[in-house]
Amino acid sequence: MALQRKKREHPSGNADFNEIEDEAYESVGFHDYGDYFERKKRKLQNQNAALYKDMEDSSKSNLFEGLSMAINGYTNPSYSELRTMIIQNGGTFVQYVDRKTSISFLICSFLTPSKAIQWKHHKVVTPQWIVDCVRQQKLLPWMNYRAVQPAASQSLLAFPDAFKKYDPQVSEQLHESSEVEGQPQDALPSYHLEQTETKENKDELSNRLDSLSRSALHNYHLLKNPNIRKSTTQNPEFLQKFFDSSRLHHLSTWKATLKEEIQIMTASSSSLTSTGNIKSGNKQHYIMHVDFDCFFASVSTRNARELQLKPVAVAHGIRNSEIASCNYEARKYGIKNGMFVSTAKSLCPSLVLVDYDFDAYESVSREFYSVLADTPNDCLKVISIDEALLDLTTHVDSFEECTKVAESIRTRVRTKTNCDVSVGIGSNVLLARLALRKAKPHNIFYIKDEDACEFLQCLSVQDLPGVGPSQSFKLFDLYGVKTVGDLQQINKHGLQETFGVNYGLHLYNIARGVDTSHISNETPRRSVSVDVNWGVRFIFLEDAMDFLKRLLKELLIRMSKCDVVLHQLQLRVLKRAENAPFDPAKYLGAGEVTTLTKSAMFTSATKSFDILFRQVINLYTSLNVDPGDVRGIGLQALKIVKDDKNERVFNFNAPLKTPHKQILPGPLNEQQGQNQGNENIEASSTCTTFIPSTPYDLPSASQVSPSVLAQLPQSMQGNIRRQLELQNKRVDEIPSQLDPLFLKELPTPIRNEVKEDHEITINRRLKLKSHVQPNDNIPTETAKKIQQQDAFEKMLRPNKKVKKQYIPQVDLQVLEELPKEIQETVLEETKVNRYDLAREVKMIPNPVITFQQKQSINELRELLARWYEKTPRGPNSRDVDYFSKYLGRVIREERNLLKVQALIRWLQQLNRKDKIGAWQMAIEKTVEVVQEACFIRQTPPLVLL
Amino acid sequence: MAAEDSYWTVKLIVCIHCILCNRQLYPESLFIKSRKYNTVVWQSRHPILCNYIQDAVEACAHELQGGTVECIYLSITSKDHVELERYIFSAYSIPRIPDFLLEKPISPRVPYSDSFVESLRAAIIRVQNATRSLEQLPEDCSWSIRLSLKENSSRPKAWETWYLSEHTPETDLERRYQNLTIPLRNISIGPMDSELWLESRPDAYKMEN
Repeated sequence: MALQRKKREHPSGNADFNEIEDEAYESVGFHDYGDYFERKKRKLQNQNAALYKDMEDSSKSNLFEGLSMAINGYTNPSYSELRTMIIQNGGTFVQYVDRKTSISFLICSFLTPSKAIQWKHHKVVTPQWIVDCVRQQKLLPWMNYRAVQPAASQSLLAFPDAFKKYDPQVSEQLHESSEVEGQPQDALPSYHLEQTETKENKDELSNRLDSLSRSALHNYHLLKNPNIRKSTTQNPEFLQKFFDSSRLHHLSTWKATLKEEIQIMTASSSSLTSTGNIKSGNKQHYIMHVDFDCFFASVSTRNARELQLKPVAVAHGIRNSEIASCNYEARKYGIKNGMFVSTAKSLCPSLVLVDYDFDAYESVSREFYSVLADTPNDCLKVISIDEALLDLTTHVDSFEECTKVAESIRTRVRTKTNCDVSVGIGSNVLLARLALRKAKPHNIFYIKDEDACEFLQCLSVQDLPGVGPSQSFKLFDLYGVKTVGDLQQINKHGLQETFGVNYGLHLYNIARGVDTSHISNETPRRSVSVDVNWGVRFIFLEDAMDFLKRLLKELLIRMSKCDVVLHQLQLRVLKRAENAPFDPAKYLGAGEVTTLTKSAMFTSATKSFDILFRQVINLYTSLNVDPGDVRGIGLQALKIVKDDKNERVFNFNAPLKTPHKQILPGPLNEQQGQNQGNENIEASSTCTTFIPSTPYDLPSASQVSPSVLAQLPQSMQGNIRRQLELQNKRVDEIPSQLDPLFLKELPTPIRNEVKEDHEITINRRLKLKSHVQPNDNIPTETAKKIQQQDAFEKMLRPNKKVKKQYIPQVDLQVLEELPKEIQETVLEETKVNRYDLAREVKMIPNPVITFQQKQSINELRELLARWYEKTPRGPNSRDVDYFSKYLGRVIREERNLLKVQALIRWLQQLNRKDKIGAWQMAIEKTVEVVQEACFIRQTPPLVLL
Repeated sequence: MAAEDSYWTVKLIVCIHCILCNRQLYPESLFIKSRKYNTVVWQSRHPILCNYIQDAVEACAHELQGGTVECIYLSITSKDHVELERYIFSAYSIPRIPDFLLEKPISPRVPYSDSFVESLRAAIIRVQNATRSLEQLPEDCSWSIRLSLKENSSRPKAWETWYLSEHTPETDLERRYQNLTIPLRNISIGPMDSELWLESRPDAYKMEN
């Protein structure tokens, strides 16, 4: 319903509204209550606006501008008086409160208990506040006019005392912000606060550091070094740098672009090749796997002959980085890809290190692919920047012919790029790949189907693609399999039982050189992602938030390049493994990590930063990782769909402005409508009767179509551009979800409140000594709120991924002492399940005392009988002591009178026949001890006869 | 009443009925034979007596839930208010549970199985045998249900409804010297262990008689 969408657009109404033109006054049927109600509210606002308009200028003021208020229940002065006061002073009067957040203040003398609970987090003031404000013609601090006294919250109990120290500061701030009120609007109170804050910074920092975990503290000390800090995520330009120098990033982006290009190429020639493919149903296939020899190294040295004969490795020159690629000279020394530079240097001191030359790689790769594309083929599949699969099935008839084609590819690549490629040929992808391994370096090798089995037999299982160390170990462990030949001996069912149906079958097949996979044309892209797992070092949660923000922006940039929007967002966090050292072997690397992932679905495809960022923060906090332990972060856009240009993206967070009929007759699409609507605002804002407090918003920059913008009149374009610029400002400067202009219109104290509110949600990074930025200002109060929130989150959320026994943080004893209501709130707030607490109740099982490893009466009787039999001349007195002591313990600790009685009776029974005097004495002694024990236990003596 | 306590209360009610019958505190014709825990028990048919027992036990159960009760006992007193017999059902193994945990049953599982029934049956049979074999009580005896609390708990939860018994250190000491303990049976149900025993004052019967 069109009107519903507009409900917030006219909170105060335009005073220049024209009754006849307003669609609220159109006739409505009886069908839709919601629509009717919207119209009613709209009309009420129009009435208010008219009231304001009709008032004499002298009695008007802008005291309450930007504030919307509602009245509840009996008030003195009366409802209508208050209403007039509010409207007179530029406030928005709301008759029907549909959302608590839509109004700034609720005015009432008294709230019913249930309402008081509902409204406890909102501003509820007494009518006196309005009266006093109007009388003094300034906004008084509403806290003094609270209608609902805030309930003493026990949530503070859970926090260390350190927080209490801040309390004086908080009041100081409040005090200051109220001082500022009288000053002109452009003087933001934040400037005033800055002084006090820098003073407090030191204390705050040390205080905050105290609360850090060990790993975070380690990071803090690490990041104190400005050089190190520059190369970690703490540097705002980090992402840019990181992706500029990450080879993996380059590889993946190249691959993506190459794939796309190849896709376009194959698409254009598909009509030719598809027919060929069908024909070649059961025919002998010819697959060619072409790969550069040590790509990075050979490209880097291609123009320097003298280097080609020396051992060369490509790596970042700094400290402990990995070798990305090394030439065959270097390999002779035992240097391998992925080895650390320092290890390689010790193996071969004469090793020449070359830095990455990403531009060269790209150009070489392009040449390479152009050669491949020129070769007649059925299908070309990009594996990576330096590797490709070619299907030559319909173009060659024998392996010899294939070799000729391969030879021509090699020479052409050689002349074009000065680098060598190796070619492996086989009847399927697997064999081609295995042949390639054999072909390297600088050669061509083909495996005929009839030779395949023999060839495979001498390979080790790990040489097969898809068989990793764990599988090969399992194979060796269970079957004693080392080579593929051994693997061929195992039947299919055995493999499928141990490795699962699919993987077992796969193993069975590849051991026989059978590969059912086909070279298919590229499937469209399924995800877009940004991953950083180097240089990620955070100290505080805010650092992580800040970095996530940048990462999300990067993701959105990538998404916009691919022109997609996402349905699902996945966050991946690499967490330092439990026992991993704080400093991994690789300089600022990730080290040993556990991967935590979490994803969120969106009901509609989106690319809005605000929506996504909120979700990202939720995801991150729900993972509950210590910021100091984060070693890598990745964001992945899943379930992506092509961005529908005409998609409506409603900005729910800021009020929209809709077009006026008289200006825009006829149907329009949403984009135009919105822009035109803004045009209307711009025009009317110059008009004096326009109530300036009306909030309005421009759609986010991405939504404004440049073509529409260009058609607007010059002055309007300027206005819109200026506003867009404001929107595009750093998020740090302006809370992202707020319209800056709207913010500017607000009275200063309210603006501050709005900002603070937003800062809590946006979680701006805190101002700390370690990263002070000009203009980066955050009140300590907010900082604390963030910390508190964080502390709570941490405390409460049982970790989902890392399964840990969840121990309730509530001290049962403390809880017990509290009054009942407080207990309830504490329990509720902490969300500690009663069941969890119940575990805390200690249930001490009744101890059963063993005597000579015997517990039950029958066993003990047997024991006694043997004892009696073996010592006919009377028992050892120490044994008697021992036994009677045991009986005493049974009475006092095990609390089983019956057992004692039974045992003593048994002894008496044993002695009844022979009446051995020594035994009689022993029994009497035991009875004595037993009665003593009874006395200690405060029970009367036991009946024993 | 929470499920955990129901077995306790039922057991208590059954025992009380049996004891009252066997000790002939009421005419035997008021009782009928009934079957509980797969054994024969006596059950009072007098509605007032039944209700009284029910109410008394419920009040006990209320206290039991908090785990502050040391033991519940049925004491039989002569017309001079001399305690002649005391049947003790100890409850020391019920852990102390804070009030706020009691509002909802902690777990809905009923700890009731055949082995429990066995244990209960054994106890009931013991109670029946022991009570029958005791000497006859003098005339005009009375009985009451009492409970004693664990050391550090000062008063029952519903303390307004309970009477303070004339329990002095002297009477306690006297009891310990003059009474005799006849162990009955321990009932162990899971970690909950309840000891049953009976304290009688053999000389008292003669004095009365």
